[in-house]
Amino acid sequence: MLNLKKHINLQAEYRHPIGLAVFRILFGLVSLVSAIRFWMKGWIEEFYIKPGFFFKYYGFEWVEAAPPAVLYSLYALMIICCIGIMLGWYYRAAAIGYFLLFTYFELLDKTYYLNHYYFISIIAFLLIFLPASSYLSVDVLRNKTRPSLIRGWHVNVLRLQLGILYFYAGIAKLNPEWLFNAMPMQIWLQEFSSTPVLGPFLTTPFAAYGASYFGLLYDCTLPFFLCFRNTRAWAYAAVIIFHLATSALFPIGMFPYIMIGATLIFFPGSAFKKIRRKVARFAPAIFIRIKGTQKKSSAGRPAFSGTLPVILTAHFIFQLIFPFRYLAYPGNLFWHEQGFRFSWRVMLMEKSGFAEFRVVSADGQKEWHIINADYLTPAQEKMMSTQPDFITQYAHFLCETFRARGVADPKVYGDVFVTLNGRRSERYIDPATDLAGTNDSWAHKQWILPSPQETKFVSISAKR
Amino acid sequence: MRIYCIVLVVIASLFTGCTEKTGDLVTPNCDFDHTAMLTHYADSLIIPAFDELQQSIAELKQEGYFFTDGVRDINTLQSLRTAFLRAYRAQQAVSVYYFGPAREQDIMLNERFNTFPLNIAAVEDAISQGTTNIDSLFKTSTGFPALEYLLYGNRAAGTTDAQVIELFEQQPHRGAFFKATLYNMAGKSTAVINAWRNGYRETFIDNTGAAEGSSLAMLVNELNFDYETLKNFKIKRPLGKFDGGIVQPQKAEGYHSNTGLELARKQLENIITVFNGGNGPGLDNYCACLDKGINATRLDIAINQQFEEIQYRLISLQGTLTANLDNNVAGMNDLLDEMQKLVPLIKRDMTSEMGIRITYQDNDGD
Repeated sequence: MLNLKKHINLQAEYRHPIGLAVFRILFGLVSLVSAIRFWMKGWIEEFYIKPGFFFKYYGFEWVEAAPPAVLYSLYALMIICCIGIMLGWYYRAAAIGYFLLFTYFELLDKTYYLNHYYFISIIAFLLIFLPASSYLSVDVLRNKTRPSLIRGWHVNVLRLQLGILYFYAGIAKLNPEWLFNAMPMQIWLQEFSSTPVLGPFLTTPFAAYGASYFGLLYDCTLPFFLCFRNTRAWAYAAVIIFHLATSALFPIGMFPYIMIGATLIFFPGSAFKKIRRKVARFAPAIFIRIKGTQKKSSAGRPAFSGTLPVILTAHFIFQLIFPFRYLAYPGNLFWHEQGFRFSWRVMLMEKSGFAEFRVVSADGQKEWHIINADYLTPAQEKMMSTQPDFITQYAHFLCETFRARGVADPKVYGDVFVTLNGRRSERYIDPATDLAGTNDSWAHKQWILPSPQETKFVSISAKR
Repeated sequence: MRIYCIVLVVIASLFTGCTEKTGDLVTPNCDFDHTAMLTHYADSLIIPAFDELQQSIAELKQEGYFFTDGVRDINTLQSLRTAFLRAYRAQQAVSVYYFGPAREQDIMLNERFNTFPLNIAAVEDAISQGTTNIDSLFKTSTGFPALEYLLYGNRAAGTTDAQVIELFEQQPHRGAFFKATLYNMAGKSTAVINAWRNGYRETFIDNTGAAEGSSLAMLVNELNFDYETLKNFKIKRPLGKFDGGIVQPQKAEGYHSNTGLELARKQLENIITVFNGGNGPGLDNYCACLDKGINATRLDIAINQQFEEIQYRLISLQGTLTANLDNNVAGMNDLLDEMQKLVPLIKRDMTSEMGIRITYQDNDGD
């Protein structure tokens, strides 16, 4: 059974550092690959240079895109930080640099918000406080860091963070759509209708329900099974199968590989013994023996004292509570999306919208219809048309744009329609509200029209 | 270990629980023959449409050469205009198939054939310089709008038929430019139909599924784009919706020949045909097959009902587009309102139901 006392007892136990070191290496590697991929695909240009307008995060409106040359330099520096983390080379500086730079790029435009980018930011933040370079690192080789044992909490904070991610992703699936309609899985699997061999199976209701319930069980239980010694290996096999399957079925980029690497942190140091011995044969220098004298002197640094407990406690309280802020808003969360982000709500709905705007002069005499493509990139338009906080920001932008053209006090009205999980598109926001007069805030946005219908429980095969 | 066993049992029972509750779950969800549908589209709709484009342009070219090099009078001009309108109508029936051969870099059919409004100054400039390399020109000074201008004159300036003929008489470069444009368009339209006949048909039919780049996804995406072109640039823009509400007849398609409404009707008719797959298996049938009974009205029925509303209003408009812009803005607005209502249905609901991602670009996903 899960020995809670052992896990909570932060200072007591010394552990072999290899698990944490492997985590650091894999995290650095995946971050590096992810960053290079991002650059190679031309996304720096496309996401941060080309757009004339950026959708800022609430409270981070002050984060500005630097000039292109600076952006590229910062991105290059971020890549160096990835290498630093991977090699354990100027490790602490690399971790701090990576956290700041990666988060900076994320904050430039919320169009590209992804839960796994949020996850990367958090892990980078936690790594700043962990002695992940005390083993298998360049810092050790060049005697900047002494190899040492680590404390239990050094790995447990990462386990806790991962556990929260999976568990919260799991309970987010406990909604009628997912449980009783196998939505949106039914829609997504439709894409494989003519895939040879597997296609006919994947498009059956059985596959849709099976995938929904498997996903639910997997997310809810995985952290626990990864904690138990007896189930750990099986659970990890499930991790590999689950993430490779989602990677094959859906366009979710690097996320599966990040998770396959990250969940290794649940294995104790002893699990790496065999690998350690094998690798040691080729490169014995890397595996410096941790001498008895070093154990006591440097183990457990940074120590769990000073402001660190406060920072980590605050972090995890935030992690536990923040995803539940949606309860403060009336109506269907999937519809209004107030309190949706930063809550590990992953692949939960099939939603898309159609938004057109009209700018009207104050006297109502003149009217301009807006072609969104004139101001937004396709990705921005796509995100804007289903999310109220984007809509209000865009309306403000349009208002300013027309004011600059000499229209006094322009009003902005929107015709926005949204389809959710296969339901007919319905009007999303009040067409009579002057959106230029609305604001983004924590308060409930009154101008979002109520969700058209409460979830209807339909058996998908009922009509055939 | 005991816990693991318990959980296994729970998982197993959950799955059995699932099948028990809905006994007919094993019925296949939607067994739709994609290959048959794509074959039908290729053979009964797409290839005939490109064939008509190629033939009508070939005829137009022949008449155009005869007019330029031979008899230039009001009769040959009228006959030439008839051939022109036939080809322009044929263009309305292919613009929706803007993928594969038509989108090849050296063809770019929709851009090169029908970008409007025409840049008249650029055309006159090209003529006075004796330009015959049409591909070197911007897309705003070529294609059907350029031909239309040469054959009908500048409507805003009130060019008469006699003046149109006279200009050809006076400017040898005008005829040369006209012929070069026809030659260029004939070449492109021939290249497209040949590509479809020599291999692309099979590529299209074999490219099943709904993933990005599949034939179905391309067709649905282009259907949407074509419809939005109709709505935004053939109706909305002339109505002045992008210009503070001041009507812009000169920005309409077919302005010089004043055939904007006729062309719009032809395009709408074609979009409806494409959605319904003519008389064979089409997107409408696929929608019906995928229907999960969540909505009160089946999607294909809702879409066709809205098509009827639009078509009714478009046909009800009397006279020409410019006449309606002058004295029936209300009727035009009414049409536009109905046109707006269709967009969520075909752009969002249909793509959602079919699992087609209108993915404009790759992303890291979630």
